[in-house]
Formats: sequence, C-alpha cells, structure tokens
Amino acid sequence: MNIFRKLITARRLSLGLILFLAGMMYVSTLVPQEMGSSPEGIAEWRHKHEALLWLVDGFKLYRMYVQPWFAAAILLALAALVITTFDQIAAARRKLYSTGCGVEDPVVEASSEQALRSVARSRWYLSLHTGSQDKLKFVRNPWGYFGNTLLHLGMVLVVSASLYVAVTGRQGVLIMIEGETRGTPLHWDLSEYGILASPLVLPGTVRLDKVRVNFDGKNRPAAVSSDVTITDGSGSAESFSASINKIIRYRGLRVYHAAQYGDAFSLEFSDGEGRRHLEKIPVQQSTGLDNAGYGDFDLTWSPHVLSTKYYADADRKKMTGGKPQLVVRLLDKSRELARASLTPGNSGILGNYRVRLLGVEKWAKLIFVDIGGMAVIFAGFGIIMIGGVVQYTVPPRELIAIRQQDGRYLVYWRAAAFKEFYMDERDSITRELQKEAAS
Amino acid sequence: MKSSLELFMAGNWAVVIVYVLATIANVSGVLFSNERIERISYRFAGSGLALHTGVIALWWVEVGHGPYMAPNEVLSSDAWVIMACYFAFLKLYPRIKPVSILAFPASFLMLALSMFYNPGIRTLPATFRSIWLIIHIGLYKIALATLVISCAFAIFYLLKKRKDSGWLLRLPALEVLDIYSYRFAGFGFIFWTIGMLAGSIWAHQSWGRFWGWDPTETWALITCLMFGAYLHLRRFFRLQGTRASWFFIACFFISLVSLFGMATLNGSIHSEYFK
Repeated sequence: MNIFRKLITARRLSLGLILFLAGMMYVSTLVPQEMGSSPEGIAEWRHKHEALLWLVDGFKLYRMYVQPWFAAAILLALAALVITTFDQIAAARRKLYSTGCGVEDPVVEASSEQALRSVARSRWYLSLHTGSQDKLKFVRNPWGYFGNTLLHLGMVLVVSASLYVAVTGRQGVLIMIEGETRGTPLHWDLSEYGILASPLVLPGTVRLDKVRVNFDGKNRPAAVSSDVTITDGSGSAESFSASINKIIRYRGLRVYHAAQYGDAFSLEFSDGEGRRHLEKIPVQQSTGLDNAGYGDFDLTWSPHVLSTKYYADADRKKMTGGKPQLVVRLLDKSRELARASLTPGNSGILGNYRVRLLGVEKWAKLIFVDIGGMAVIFAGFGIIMIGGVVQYTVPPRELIAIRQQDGRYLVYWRAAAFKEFYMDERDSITRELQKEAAS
Repeated sequence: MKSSLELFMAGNWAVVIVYVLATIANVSGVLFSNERIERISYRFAGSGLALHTGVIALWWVEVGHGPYMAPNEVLSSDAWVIMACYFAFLKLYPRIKPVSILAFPASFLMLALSMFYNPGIRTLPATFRSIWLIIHIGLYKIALATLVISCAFAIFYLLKKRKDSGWLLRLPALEVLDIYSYRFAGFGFIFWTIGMLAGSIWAHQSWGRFWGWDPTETWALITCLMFGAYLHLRRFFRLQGTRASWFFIACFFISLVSLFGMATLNGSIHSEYFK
C-alpha cells in the first residue's frame, strides 16, 4: 500500500501526468476529433496524412477523449490528487503548529513578551499556541498554509464531478418550426449520453408554439424566447417560455434555448419533367437590416449544396413583419452554378429548377439536458478560486520567538513563500523591536 | 455613426502617438539613466491611458457592448488592461517599475495593430448578454497583463545574466527578478484558471454544457496545465534562474497562441466573432 502511495504521489509522476495530458490535448487539436469535425474534413485530413493513420487508428486518436487510456490517465491524476490533498492537509497542519526556525538567522532580540505581542498585533500577526512557555509563535495570514490544500481539493471535486457528468449526463436537441409537434417516442435531432446513461426520453410530446425575437433600437436581436408546450402521457399539458440565458426546469430536466434561431423558408422546387420537391430550410436570424442570415443545406434529391442568405426586409425598412428577401444559390463544392432572389409568394429560376418561396415561419433550437453533479463542479470552482487567491496573494509570515535565560527573546522571521516581497515588513518589525528594546 | 467612427479612429491614433512618446521617453530614460525623462514617460503613459479610457467608453456607448467582440476592440482593450494593470501593480509592488520598458511598447503595438482591423460594429448575440461573459473575458485580460509583467522579468533575468552592464545594472538582483517572474506567473495562472472556470459557468448557463473540447477551450486548458507544470517545477523541483525563465517564456508563447492564434486561425465558437 505504501509503495502504491509513494508511486502515485511521486512528484515526477504528477509532473509527467500534467505534461502527458497537455501533450495529448495538443495532439487532439492536430487530429480532427469526430465530435467536432465534419466527415468531409476528417476524410480530407486522413487523405493528407496517410502515413500517420496506423498511429491515429491504433490509438483511436480521432475520439481521444472517450478512449480508455485517456480515462485511465485522468483517473490516475485524480487518485494522485486525492492522496496529495490529504498530504497537503497534514503538511498545512504541521506548518501551522511548527515552531522550528529552519535555517533562518534571528533577526532581532525582543526585550519582553509584551513588546513582542504588541508589535505582532500591530502588524496583523496572530498568536498561535506552541505548547511551550519558552516559545511564542505569531503568524500573519495563517490560512495561507491551506492554499495548496484548497487548490488540490477543488481540483479533486471538479475532476471527479466532471467524470460523473461525462458518464451519466444525457441531452437531446430539437430544431423545431413554429406550430410543429414532436410525438412519442420523441425523435431528437441530436442526442448524446454517457456510457452509464440511457438516451434521454421525454414523457410526452413537445410543441413549439411561438418564437419571439425582440430587436433593440439598432435592429439587433436583443432577446429571444420560445413558447413550448409539453403534454405528458396522461394528457396533462404544461406550457413554458424558454429564453437564451434563462433556463427552464421541467420535471428534473433543464431546457435551454440555443443561440440558433431565425426564419424557416418553405421552398418548392420543380424541374422541367414535372418533379416537385418541397424543402423547409431554417436559416440563422439576420442581425440587422443590412446584415444577412446564412445557411448551407444538403439536398437529398440533388448532388449540389443549397447555399442561402436572407435579409429580414427586402426594402431594408423593418426587422419584423416586413418582406424577407431570400437569396438561394446552388453550389458544386465552392463553384456557384445558379442563383435566384426570392420574396414570399414569388418564384425564380435556379439552374434547371423553378423555385418558389411558399412561406416563412420562425424556428428555434431547444436543448433538453439531464445532468447531476454540476453543483459539485461549481463548488470545486469556488474552492479552487479561494485556494489560488490564498496561495498566491497571502503567503503566511511567521514570527517565532525563543526565550533566552535572561528572559529576553530571540526573534526569527520567515515567509512561507516569496520572501523577497516582504523584506520591508521584516525590516519594519525589526526596527520597532529594536526601538522597544532600546527604550 | 460616421462622426463617432471618425472620433474613435482619431482618438485611437492620438492614444497610439501618446503611447509611442511614452515608450521613447521611457526607453531613453532607462537606457541613459535620466530620471527626469523617465518621469515624463510616466506622465505620457498616464495621459495616454486616460485618453484611451475615454475612447473605449465612447465606442462602448456607440456599439452597445463592451470591447470584446471585434478584433480591434479586443486588441485595444488588451492594450488598455496591460497599461492599467501595470500602473495598478506598480502601486502595490514598486520594484516592477522597469517592466515599463516592455509594457509601454506592448500597449502601443497592440493598439496600433488594432487599427488595421475593420472597426465595423459587431452585433452582440443574445447568448453573449451574460455577466459571466464579462467576468470570463475580463479575467483573461488581467491574466494576460500579469503574464506580460512576468515575461518582462524573465527576459530581464536572461539579459542581466548574460551581461550585467549599462542599464541592466539598474535592475534588481538576479534572484529578485527570478522571484518576481515566479510570483506574477502565479497571479497569471490564477487569473487564467478562474477565467476558464467563469467561461465554463457561462457555457453551462447558455448552452447546457460546461465543457465542449472546443479548440480554444482545449488550448486554454493546455496553457493552464503548462503553467501548472511550471509552478510545480518551481515549487517541487527547484527550477529557477535561466531554465525557469526559458520555460516561462515557452508557456507565455503558448498562452498567446491560445488567446490570439486560436481566435484567428481555428473554427471554434470563440473565433466566430473574432474573425
């Protein structure tokens, strides 16, 4: 057990783990990760780096953060942090009650205990119990001894709670258009869940009633909210309004309004042979009369990409209730094949198609999240902050006095860290004690 | 709008000129041991800072959000924070005075660079309307300022160690330079870490996730770990002097990549609005 403890708390291992994790994270920024990259981007990277594929595929570096070896490194770091935290508590207590003078030279002699106490008190040095009548100890900022302990404890809480969230958390994303209802079983547009969790299930149907976008005086979106109704299996309906930065709680779930919202355009494409295709495309909200909202879409019936942009008002007069102008382009990779400009009810020619803008509705993206452990993470954040501030801004300074046979005291001064910063404080204490002794 | 933009541009150039004068006076004062000129340089820098504050406030009112959306706003506010933090820390730690030789030119170069970006108004998305955003960004700016101070001491250490003559004689002793670099690195680490934590609180509030391995987030964590390694090495492996200075400069470079490189080169949520 002791060997394990020694091994896991070895300073070289701690340093090695820090550098290993930093190094692997760097690698993760070089090798495109599946969860944050497009399939085309990954394919292109693989094509360009064929010589490295044995390594990338062997260690599954394209999904690094969910690999067992990465989790093992985090767990090892966590185990080291837990044990070190206990060691730090012991070390802090030891320092708090230590009366050793170390290698410091005495800075001055004090004539009496009373003089010493008076000078210490005037400099915010607190008297600590030493267990000996011949030794006195005064410490300024004794809580500074616990800075490292708090830093480590905070990290333990954050890492362990993050792991808990990663394996048990789950969420589902809905991209909905006004008036749309998603039934049971609910089909998410995107769903994620940890290895110990099952996919998130909503107890009923979800309907997006209304999306509201309020604009400020300069026509910029200032507030966005969506009215949602959830009806459970028993037919009981509950309505609420979700807004960006205002989280709604529904039966233990948290409902977020994402930053993705805007206008959804219903388009009808018809070709020369009489084939018709209907598409409803949600385009991100434009952010001003002269600013367009953009979106690119793959079409199941065409090999080309439909690239779109729209202005809230073709006449550039008002953001709401105006006549939106939609510009659609057909792209072959980055090459433009055709372009058409549309307003509601009108049509245009887009390459081989006649395209008509049938109507415009609002859309929004909602995220349903079921996670526990966030309170622990935030508590850990708080403890790290306090620990950091205590560790680096208020290092303890000690005055230790040892009574001599003549009743006078030999006084030692020591700073737990950054001694050079506090030499003025030491000198001022020395001067005052010398003055006391002389008088 | 047009007159505000013209005023903003003119104000910024005026600040650049004042900062340049401060830098010239400061470098001359330090190199030629002329305290009078050095004192004048502080007056220039102080006036520049006051004017800079006014220009940032004017633009804040005009665009309706703080200086953290467009590249010109970001660089200008970074320059302001470096200058303001230098003066604030100078009050607390008078021995950091020589850092002006790096802080002044860093401020004017950043501000001058900001002028080459389009000063158009960026819209503040609704998700950005959170107090956590201001805390998140503010702490990173302060972290940058403290790291600049620490970096200055690391560079001073290396210069003085190589050849202790001329103006370098006026710098504190080597061990003092080393310990100042260490301490400000500690401050930087704390501000950086708390800034990162504030960002994750904001992300949790806005997007329902507190960490997403976004490239900028990943680089911020890499930087945090590297500064953690630096502090570990200093505390437990007695890393100091020349090797500590070089190690810190490497960490500082990584922090610049996180703050500026990722924001301009990579496709992340953090770069979307910076480009």
